[in-house]
Amino acid sequence: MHGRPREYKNKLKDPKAAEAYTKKAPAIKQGTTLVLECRRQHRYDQAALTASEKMLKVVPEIYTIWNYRREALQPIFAAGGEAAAAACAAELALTQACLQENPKSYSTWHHRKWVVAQGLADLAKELKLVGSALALDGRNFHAWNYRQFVVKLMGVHAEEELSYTSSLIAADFSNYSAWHYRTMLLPRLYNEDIATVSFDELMATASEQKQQQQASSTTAASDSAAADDSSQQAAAVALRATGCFTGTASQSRPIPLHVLEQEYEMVHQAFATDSADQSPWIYYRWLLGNSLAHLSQAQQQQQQQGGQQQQQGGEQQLEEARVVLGEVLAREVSRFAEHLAVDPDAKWPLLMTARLKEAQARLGLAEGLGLDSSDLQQQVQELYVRLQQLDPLRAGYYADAAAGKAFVVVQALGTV
Amino acid sequence: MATSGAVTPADLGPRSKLLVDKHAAYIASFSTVWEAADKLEHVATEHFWMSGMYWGLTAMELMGRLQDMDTDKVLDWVMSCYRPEDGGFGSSPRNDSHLLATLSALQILALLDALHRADAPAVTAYIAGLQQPDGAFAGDKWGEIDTRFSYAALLGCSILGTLDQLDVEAAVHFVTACKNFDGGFGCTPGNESHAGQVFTCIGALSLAGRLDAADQDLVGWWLCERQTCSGGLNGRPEKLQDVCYSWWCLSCLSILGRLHWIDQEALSRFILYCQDEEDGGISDRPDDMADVYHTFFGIAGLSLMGHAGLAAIDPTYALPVKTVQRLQQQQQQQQQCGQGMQEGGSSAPSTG
Repeated sequence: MHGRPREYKNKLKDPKAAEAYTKKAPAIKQGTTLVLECRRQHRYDQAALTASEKMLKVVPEIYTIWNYRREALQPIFAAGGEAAAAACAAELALTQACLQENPKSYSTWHHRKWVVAQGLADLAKELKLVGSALALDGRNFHAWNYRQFVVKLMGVHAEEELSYTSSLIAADFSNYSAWHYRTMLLPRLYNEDIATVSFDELMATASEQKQQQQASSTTAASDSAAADDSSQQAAAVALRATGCFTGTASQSRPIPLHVLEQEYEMVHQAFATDSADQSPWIYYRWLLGNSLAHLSQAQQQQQQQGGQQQQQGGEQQLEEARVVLGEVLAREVSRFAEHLAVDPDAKWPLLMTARLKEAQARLGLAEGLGLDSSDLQQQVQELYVRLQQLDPLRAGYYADAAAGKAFVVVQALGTV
Repeated sequence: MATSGAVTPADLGPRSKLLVDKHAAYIASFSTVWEAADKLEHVATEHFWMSGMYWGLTAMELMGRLQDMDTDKVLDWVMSCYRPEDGGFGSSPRNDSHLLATLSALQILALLDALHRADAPAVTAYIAGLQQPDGAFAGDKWGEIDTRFSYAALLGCSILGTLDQLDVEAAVHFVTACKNFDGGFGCTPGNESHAGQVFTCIGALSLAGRLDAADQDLVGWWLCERQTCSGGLNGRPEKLQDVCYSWWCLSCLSILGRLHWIDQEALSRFILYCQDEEDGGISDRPDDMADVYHTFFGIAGLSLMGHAGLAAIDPTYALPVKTVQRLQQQQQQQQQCGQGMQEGGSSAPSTG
């Protein structure tokens, strides 16, 4: 559906190509019929499953056939033992084969997750596998999704994942996915409690529940049903382990100042290499948001404090926060001025400068710069007007920004 | 020739107008896709036939050519994909129920004014049953989680008029947990922003009356940065432009009232340039193979931009405005009937 050249039509006019092409259609149709007929007859024997494997390798998005395989697998996994381990290995091999052909198949990645959630897979191997997938395509969001699933189950520390993103970014500054992942990891590492649940803990909970149910059950049938049920429950919980690093919507505090400084350094290195890449520039906005959030945080703390003694401390902190922010904004403006000295029409440095000055104006920092607030506003407007000409596709956005109707940096804490 | 540069009027040549007749003929050839046993692209896409039908039918309606489709036959086929054992629809009669197929089925029924054929309580129960404790929705009983399913659930129930049967607050909570540093949204919490997911999340928030949960300027800016110098839009930074993002990005910008943040002329030229003037249909990029998916989204994008000769499309429902208005009128009438009965007075017979 995507990226197939139109001249493909001409290729099919060749009789041999057309023949091969038309043979595929009945093969897929009949293959599907065969598998679903087995299913209708409640056949889950090896021959039927092998037929389903063949189909999935050709059309991995036939979700009904994956459903059929899971029906076959459920009792096997529930029974445990060697058969379950073998089944796990077989599914991992099958999904790997499918992913090699189509690394973006939703159904395939989901099936692999479902299998791994049964608790029999070597998670370190899974991490390695997804690392390989990302080495092939660092923007494959299915692989990133799967990585977060595995990392959560393993209880990998945010610091390790942070190093991973650093190495990806060092290799390729335009890996937006790696920059994105950083925005998840940094708050987790520095501010939030790491709430990972390892798979062992999950399975321990599940087996406790199983024991409790067995103690109160009276028949073997309800025993196995209960076992089935709770192991499925644990698997269901594990399956839901979609990333221990929640979105920045729930980032409750800015990352520490010293960390911000390191990130500013990193992002400026990226700017120096290739200032056309969008990724570091969009990441930069988040850094700026964090810087501003330090001020908001200090303001909130000052407002919350009662009592004169505490108030003075709060005021001092607030003043410090303003000074620090003022310094950061001024420094960043001058760094971009250096860029613009070399290339005065560079869109990104211009846009960043406009936003920095907008922040300075709105936060009342103009005076500290020896500027009149309205002069600063004027500069901001001129920058946006210039951007309208330099980046005409987005003239409508710049017009709204110039009119003070589009704020992308100055936001309340909680939406850094 | 322009592949990555802007498309000039001179480049367009035979593609300078929307080739309605060509596209209508192209889509009509898929009118009964289940009967085409020999075409590989039909047979190999059975897992989304229901969505394919929805794309084709809606595109035809936008072009004013719905009468070229055998809608009676289509309706019977859609209902043959209904699975009473769970209340869902499959992508084809022999495929299992799935939330995405269920949404497409409901969209088709709404489009063809045949919602009365659906067992609304049963379908609602199917959808509601897929909601998880944290507010997310699974695609089916096998548990895949994705914000696409949040949108499908909220829209499906909105079409049926049963949104109150879902825990909308929890659904919103999950969607906002998927919000990222760039204002965009990913498929699950922690995952990278992608225009398709941004659409499903903005759409879901819109249906829930909670657009306040989006950082509208920020995501609007991220979306307008999807426009490349070709005039087309990409789905994420550093990726290639693709006609389908004419819908995913544009509908969001429309919902957010920021359609003017992109260059609509440039985008229109890009979409037109992606037409196949020989065999009809629209492709992802100029001179690639056309398909119904890109044909629909290209036409839908042009409709959002007010392209002459196309009916208006609702950006949230991804259905013609006429369809949505009719839906809302019908739901209002049903409510009034209900109220009349509650008050114990005579209720006007429904005129559906």
